[in-house]
Amino acid sequence: MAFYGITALQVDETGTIQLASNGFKSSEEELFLVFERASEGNLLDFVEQHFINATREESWSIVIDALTSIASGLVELDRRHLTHG
Amino acid sequence: MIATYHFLPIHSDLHPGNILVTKRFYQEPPPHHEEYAYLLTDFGGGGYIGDQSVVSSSGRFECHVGDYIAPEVKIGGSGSVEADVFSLGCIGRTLVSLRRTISAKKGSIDWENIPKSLKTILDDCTASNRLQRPQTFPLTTRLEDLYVPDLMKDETAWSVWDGDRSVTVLASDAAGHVARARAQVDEMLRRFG
Repeated sequence: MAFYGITALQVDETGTIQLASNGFKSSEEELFLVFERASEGNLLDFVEQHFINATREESWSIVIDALTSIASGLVELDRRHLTHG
Repeated sequence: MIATYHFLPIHSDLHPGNILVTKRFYQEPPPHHEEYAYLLTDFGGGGYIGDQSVVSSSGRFECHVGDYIAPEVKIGGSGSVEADVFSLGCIGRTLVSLRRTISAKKGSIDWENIPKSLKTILDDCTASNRLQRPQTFPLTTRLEDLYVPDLMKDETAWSVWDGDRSVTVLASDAAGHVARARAQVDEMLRRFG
């Protein structure tokens, strides 16, 4: 997962990010970590959307690709002596 | 990913809600010019292996998605690679279940009749004894070795009449059962017909 950096943004009392151009002045700045955008949402959102129109072969490919990819991520964590939780 | 851990030491765990998916594009021509990448996020609860303490800096109640948590963690143990493997097995079961629910309308598939090769892997991942769970690298290799046409061959359960009873068999075995049933009918017709 690409990590792009850290940025400071103003956040109002409802948790909404305010852009500086809006002239919002009553909030404090908070630090945010910026990662690449996950265009497809979380795993369940993704598979639910793709299973609907997938053929049998495609749906199995989705399952296997997802599990293989997640397992590869665990290999990388293991290599760095980290656990997920 | 690693940066996340260093900057945000709050609690989390591995479940479908904190695995994000994104589409990536490459210069190569189709079919490899794009692919979906699965991103493991929310490492708040992560820790270095051997660190026995799990502290929530958020001060909030630590809410787990219980179905994905290894039994040894549920009773108070700390996270481990083996616990992550358990979570992966649970995620696999969820995906198979969702697939059955959403896309298998052409014929229902029981859990016991999912492809044996995949079921064996998921069962190994969710072993109650964490020491019996596979290590991550061999696990990845086993998953990579799964061949989709073989999965398709094994997935569907067929009900056929075998002599005096209805039995459920795998699709790959159905032809043999049908042939035997047909021979029995032919024999009955020959004797009583």
